[in-house]
Amino acid sequence: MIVSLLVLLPWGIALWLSLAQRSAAALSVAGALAEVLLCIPLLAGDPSGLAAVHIPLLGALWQLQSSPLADLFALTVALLLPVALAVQWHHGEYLHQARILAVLQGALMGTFFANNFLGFYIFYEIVALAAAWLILRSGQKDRRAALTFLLYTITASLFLLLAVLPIYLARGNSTGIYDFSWMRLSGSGLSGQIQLLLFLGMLAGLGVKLPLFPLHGWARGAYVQSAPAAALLLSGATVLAGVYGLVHWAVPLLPQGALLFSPAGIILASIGTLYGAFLALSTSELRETVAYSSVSHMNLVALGIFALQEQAWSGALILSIAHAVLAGGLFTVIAILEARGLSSNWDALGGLFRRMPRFGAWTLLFFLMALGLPGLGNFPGEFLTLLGSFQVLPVWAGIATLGMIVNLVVFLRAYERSMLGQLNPRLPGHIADLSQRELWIFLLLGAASLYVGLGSQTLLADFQQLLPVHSHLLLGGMHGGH
Amino acid sequence: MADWLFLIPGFPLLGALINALFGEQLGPRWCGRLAASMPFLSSLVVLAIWLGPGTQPALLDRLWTWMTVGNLHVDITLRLDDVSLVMVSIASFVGFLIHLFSQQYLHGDYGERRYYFYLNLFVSGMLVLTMANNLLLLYLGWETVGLCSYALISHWYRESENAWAGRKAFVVTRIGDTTLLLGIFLLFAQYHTLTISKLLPLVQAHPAPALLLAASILILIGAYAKSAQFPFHIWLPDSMAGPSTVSALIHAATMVTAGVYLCIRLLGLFAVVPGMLEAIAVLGAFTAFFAASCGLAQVDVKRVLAYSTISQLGYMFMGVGIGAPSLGLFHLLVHACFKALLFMASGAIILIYAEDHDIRHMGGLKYRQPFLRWTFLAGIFALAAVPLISAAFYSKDAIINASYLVAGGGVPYALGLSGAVLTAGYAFRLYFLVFEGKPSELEEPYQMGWGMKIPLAILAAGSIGIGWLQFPPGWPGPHLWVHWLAPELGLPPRPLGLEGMLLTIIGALATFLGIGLGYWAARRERAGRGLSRWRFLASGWWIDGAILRLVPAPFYAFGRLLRGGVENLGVQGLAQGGMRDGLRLSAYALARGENGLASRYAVSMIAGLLLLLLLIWTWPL
Amino acid sequence: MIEIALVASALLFFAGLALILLRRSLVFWLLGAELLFNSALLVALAGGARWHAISGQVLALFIMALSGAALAPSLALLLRVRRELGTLNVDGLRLLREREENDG
Repeated sequence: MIVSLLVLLPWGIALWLSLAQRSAAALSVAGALAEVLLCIPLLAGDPSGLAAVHIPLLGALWQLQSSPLADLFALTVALLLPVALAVQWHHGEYLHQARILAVLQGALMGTFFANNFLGFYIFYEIVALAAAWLILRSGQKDRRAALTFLLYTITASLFLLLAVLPIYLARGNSTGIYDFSWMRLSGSGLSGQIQLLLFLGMLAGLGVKLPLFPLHGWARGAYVQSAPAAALLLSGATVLAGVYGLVHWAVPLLPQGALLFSPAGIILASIGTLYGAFLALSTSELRETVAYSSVSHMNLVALGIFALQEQAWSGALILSIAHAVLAGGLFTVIAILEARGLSSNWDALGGLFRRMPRFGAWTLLFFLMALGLPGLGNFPGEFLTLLGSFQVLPVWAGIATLGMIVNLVVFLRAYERSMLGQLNPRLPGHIADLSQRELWIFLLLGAASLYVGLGSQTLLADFQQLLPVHSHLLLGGMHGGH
Repeated sequence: MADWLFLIPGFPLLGALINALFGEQLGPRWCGRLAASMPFLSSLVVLAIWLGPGTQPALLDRLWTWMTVGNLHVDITLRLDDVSLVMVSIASFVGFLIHLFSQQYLHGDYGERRYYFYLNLFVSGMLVLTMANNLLLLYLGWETVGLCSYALISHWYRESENAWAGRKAFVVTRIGDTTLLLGIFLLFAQYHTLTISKLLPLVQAHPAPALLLAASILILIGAYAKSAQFPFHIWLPDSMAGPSTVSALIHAATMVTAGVYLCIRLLGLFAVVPGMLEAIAVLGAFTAFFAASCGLAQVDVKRVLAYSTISQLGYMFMGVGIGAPSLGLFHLLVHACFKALLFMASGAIILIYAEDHDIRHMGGLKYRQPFLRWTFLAGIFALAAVPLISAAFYSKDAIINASYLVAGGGVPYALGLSGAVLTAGYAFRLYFLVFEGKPSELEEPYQMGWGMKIPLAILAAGSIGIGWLQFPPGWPGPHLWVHWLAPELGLPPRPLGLEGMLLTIIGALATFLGIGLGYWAARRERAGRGLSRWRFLASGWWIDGAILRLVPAPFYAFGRLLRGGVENLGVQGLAQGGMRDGLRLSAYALARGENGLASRYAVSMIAGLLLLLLLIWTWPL
Repeated sequence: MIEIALVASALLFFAGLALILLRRSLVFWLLGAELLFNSALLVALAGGARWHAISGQVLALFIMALSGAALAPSLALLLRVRRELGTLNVDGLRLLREREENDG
């Protein structure tokens, strides 16, 4: 029941925001907070699922079921939305964006909880549409970036659908029950080669959201051209839909295919990790740095998933949660610069620490998180992912590890050019340091980062509950049995 | 007692936290006082351990579980044994002295609060590093101190060069950190544990030669980068951009010794790999010699000391390599005393000369600053290992002498001994140039307060007296150190009888030869014909410049190539553009079909019908 | 017997097709469509006679009624088209076509 509410509440609020304008800003925040509160009982465990909209031969489309991983991802998204709203609070287009963000949030909740593949697919498409709408109507309002995003995601999700159909037909043929629900689809017993082919199809659809190299072409435009709050949710939250799809649908439905693809996947993802880091190295725009490093981190997540190894999986999941926190921090930094009318190009910055010491200190914290400093959020994920995949394919995992050095150079250089050194004479005479609202955003995100970084075990324990569910499907298919 | 171990790193961490959250309300003075009291409290706890239970057996304090996944189990557990007790004592007590010294030294500086935050965080990180029970927690401390080193080198961030120097230090050490992490991965893949006390017996029980060779090389690179050993030393001379107190704490007493500490900790691992220890000894001796030769030609007072640190760390590695880790650790302790002293004193000297670092502009300081002169001289004695009355005579010379005894120790012995000559040379060159001769007119009056004098006095006493803990074998007097550490580290090779006496005398002669060299070099320097004009030595054998020219450029070029060639041309241009154009073309083609000519529609309808009929007709049923 | 009916029906069918393909006037298209109807009607009748089934004749009646019913409004529409647009040439009647966009 709660899970359905989690989807419907943001949508209802979005609808209300479109119809009535009165006290809408307060309502959007209240809705976002209510969403967070709704997530809390889930963590205690909410087995009650709801199945509605039964359609013969397809199953119940509205079939939402909570699970430990889904709960965690839902909580992450729910926590990220108030941050995004707070970031954009004084912005002129606040209401407009709040509406789209709410739609996006509801759809994301749907993808996490959907127990029927068609339901998942529909939510997944709504996520894509809402994200494209967000890119189109916020920030630079870049039509081209929105179109590129839409082309990538819609084209790719067709592959996703096409890849699941044979599984559905094969299962239906063998059991006589045609149904798209997770339980009915899993354990199809297709041959390895066919599974590999289908896995590639699903991967195309899901990997594009991560974005997995070389499907990352939309990322730069989407992260750089949209408003910071939008980019925050795009890179922090929508990527979770892709991760969740891989972990909950692609790998369990096609374990043999995933296993066959594993070496190629590790190689691809570690190339992607380095590729993103090197692209971030060759830019002088803070925002592009953030965008490409996000691509790099998500490829590391993919590396962990493809490794099909216990530690790597836990690492990938915790890294994707940490990445949400990180995206929150980094895009808030960008938003603060933008709100003060500052460019995010180094050439226009320099010595900013002198004017905004608080801002400089917090920026350093999130930069350090991005470069994987132990104790902060990204480290446990990076460590576990690399440790796990190292046991599967040492050389390529080692190459991905070298990305940590590149990442360090990227962020230290960006920090040095923008914050340290002589004061840039082109900067305005007075720049306000952090306001109370911005300070609270940073405090929240910083605490979250420390929590993920040092209290990792509380999250990892949740994944332990998740893995047995999947491992009976993988049937020892995971690497490195013990 | 073991349950209170967390207090040792906990106090400075608390200080850093309070500073971060409420520092603005406290104001810089109280931030400083708070920060200084935190390592003091830590050293009180350490003192209680010295007096109370001791560390036989090792104390363990399990705090919480960090990560447990499958066969990986990582706890936040602190462990204190004899070796780490030494390190912890240095980090907390020397840390406290430096905090105390900073009160006056950094008064009125911009960013005082930031300085104390990072200093506290650093002490905490260093304590975690030394007390870590497993390799990952050690890595946490390892990176934390790296961060603090970065932030403190760039402390005066308004100069771009300082910010750059900080970044250089972090990047070079991070290369080592990454290889260390890879080494950890390798060890875990084979032995499935990261706990050091469990790992080492496993390594000895089931050695896997190729893997252990790779792992120990990777870990050694990490240690070398952290401890600024050749060729990863390039960051240390530049790190002198930070305040002198930072150099004293981080780049002399504690952080740079982390590499040595790691090697002592993992000695059981290196010992299994054939030839590894010998390589460590030769490399250490070479670094000791190489850096000492560079130190002879520097004109910046802090760069002299920086090269000296590199060189002295080389001796410590040499001690570990020749199978005398307890002597290496002893020299680490002695070095922490006298190098912290020298760095802090040089900070005062630089203040007196109004931020001028050039020792050629100095001279005759002994007349106006007698206290500074005597304490500095104590440090110089220890650095040069003057016989009997300096601590390094009992630690460094012991390492050199021991190396003569081990098989294959000829090369390290020769390098170490010639390094000792050069060491005494640059140490006394520095002393003669700064304190002797005619007073320089650049000097400004400066009154050191008690907060600065007490740390200097304590460290000067240590630089002279600590050596008396461990007299050379066969001599009357205490032999506490080596025997105390013997259960953990074993006994080092000890030259006895006539041989031992001869080696000691040769070592003493080397020191006196070096003092003569220093006097000669100082005189030539004053005459303007000094060794500093020899670019080869002054630039550190051109290694720094060569690396900076050769290494970073390809990476940036590669990044630009990926961006221009692959991303813009390939992904954005060909793939994305191709997709866009393809869709546009097909849309155009379909639109052309919808032309409204009903007769054409009829034709295509009938053609389609015929096609369908044909299909049905030929369908194989 | 049925072969002759089928050949006649095929002839009618192709005559109707030819009318539609070759002429451009709407009146002839209508005629062609009627011929197609009639060819189908002939096959239905012949089939009913061949197998002595009543359904053939029933189907024929249906087709006659249907084509008659369709013809009446079609003719009315033709008259309207003729009056409103001034032509019965099908290629001239393209008001609903997709216009080519100049911006692509």
